[in-house]
Amino acid sequence: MSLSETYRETLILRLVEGMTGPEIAARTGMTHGSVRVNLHRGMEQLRAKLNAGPSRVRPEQEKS
Amino acid sequence: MDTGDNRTENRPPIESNDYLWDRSGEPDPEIQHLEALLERFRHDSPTPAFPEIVPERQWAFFPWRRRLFPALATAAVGIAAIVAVTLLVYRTKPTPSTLAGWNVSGVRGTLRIGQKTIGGKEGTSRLVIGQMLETDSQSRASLQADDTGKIEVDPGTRLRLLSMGSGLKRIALDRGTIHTYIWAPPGQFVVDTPSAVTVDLGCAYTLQVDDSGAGMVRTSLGWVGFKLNGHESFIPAGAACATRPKVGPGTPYFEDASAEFRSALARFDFEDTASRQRARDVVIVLSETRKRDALTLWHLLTRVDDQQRVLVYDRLSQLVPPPAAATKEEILRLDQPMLDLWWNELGFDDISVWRHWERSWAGTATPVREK
Repeated sequence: MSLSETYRETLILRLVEGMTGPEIAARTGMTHGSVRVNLHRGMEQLRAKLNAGPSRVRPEQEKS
Repeated sequence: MDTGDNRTENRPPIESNDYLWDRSGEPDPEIQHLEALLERFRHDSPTPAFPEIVPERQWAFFPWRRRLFPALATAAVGIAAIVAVTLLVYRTKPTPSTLAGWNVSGVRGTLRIGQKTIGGKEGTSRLVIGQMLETDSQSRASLQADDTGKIEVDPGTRLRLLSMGSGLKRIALDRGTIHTYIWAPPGQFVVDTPSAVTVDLGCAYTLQVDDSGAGMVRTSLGWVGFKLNGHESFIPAGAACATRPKVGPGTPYFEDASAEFRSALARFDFEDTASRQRARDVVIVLSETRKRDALTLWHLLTRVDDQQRVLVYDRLSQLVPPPAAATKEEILRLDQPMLDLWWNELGFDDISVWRHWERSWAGTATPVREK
């Protein structure tokens, strides 16, 4: 269970390192548009994979 | 790094209420939860001071470059097209080796073809239409065209190639000496000289032109027609014929004729002598004539006055009787078909070869000179 490298790197910078999209673009040299697309598509993939697995991380699910 | 999908380049500026993008707008609980879970893995040492990375697509910041690229691409395609067309034209342009002309080989010494100096070490060269070939006092060369023949060029010669068509191959000999061996059909190989035109009738011959434009043709095989402005001479193998500017071809003769014969004939042909001297020269020629000199007498029939023509007729009749179909009256009034019949009795080639060429190229023959 893994994300494609393109999305994984962008999401790590956003969710782990706490950088914003503009900061990621400045660091990686990608355009703002590319960073934004990678963030959203990577997030969709991550949600799909998390929902498909046995452990769910969605807060509302944990609460329920 | 792979930049992912870049199709958003033309999208409007990024909206500011996107929490995932820049934490603006309404927070997304799911993303906040992930941030909280993953924060402990955050790199806690200072970020290295990497140099600023140049944005991957600079056109957004330099719009003129977006316009420049298509222009440069168009220019590159245009230049490539020009180069391709130039190469195509260059490769298909006739080169000297493909143009109609004569191969020049056997060069001894140094000669010129056009503006180019040719030496013996350069192998085969090419003389093409419009070019001049000139040998110096020491050089010589051999010209050959597969469908025409071979020409040996002596020292001190200048010639030009005028045409090399399928029906007519023509050169001009301005001065010097050439030896021709022609296998083209009769009438197709022609040499212009300053004082006459030589027409090959299936033969080998030597043609000389001096600096004054005077010429001499000597036939060694077959026969040659020598012509200028209606003056014409037929020179069979073993015979010779001189020509002079503004006069044209003289009377052909065999060179083993007596000296008196040849001197009298040369005065008659080319010196502006009084009619009495001309009459005396004709008498000398007639008195020195052998049977084979019927060649000369046949030509004299059309070159003497009426009184002398009777003398020439009588002497030629003694050497070679006229054809039964021709009367004396017809001959004396220079009936061309009757003259042609008598020519055919002389034992040389059939004159119809010449007449065929004349009809197709130069019109009818006319009686020659009247001084």
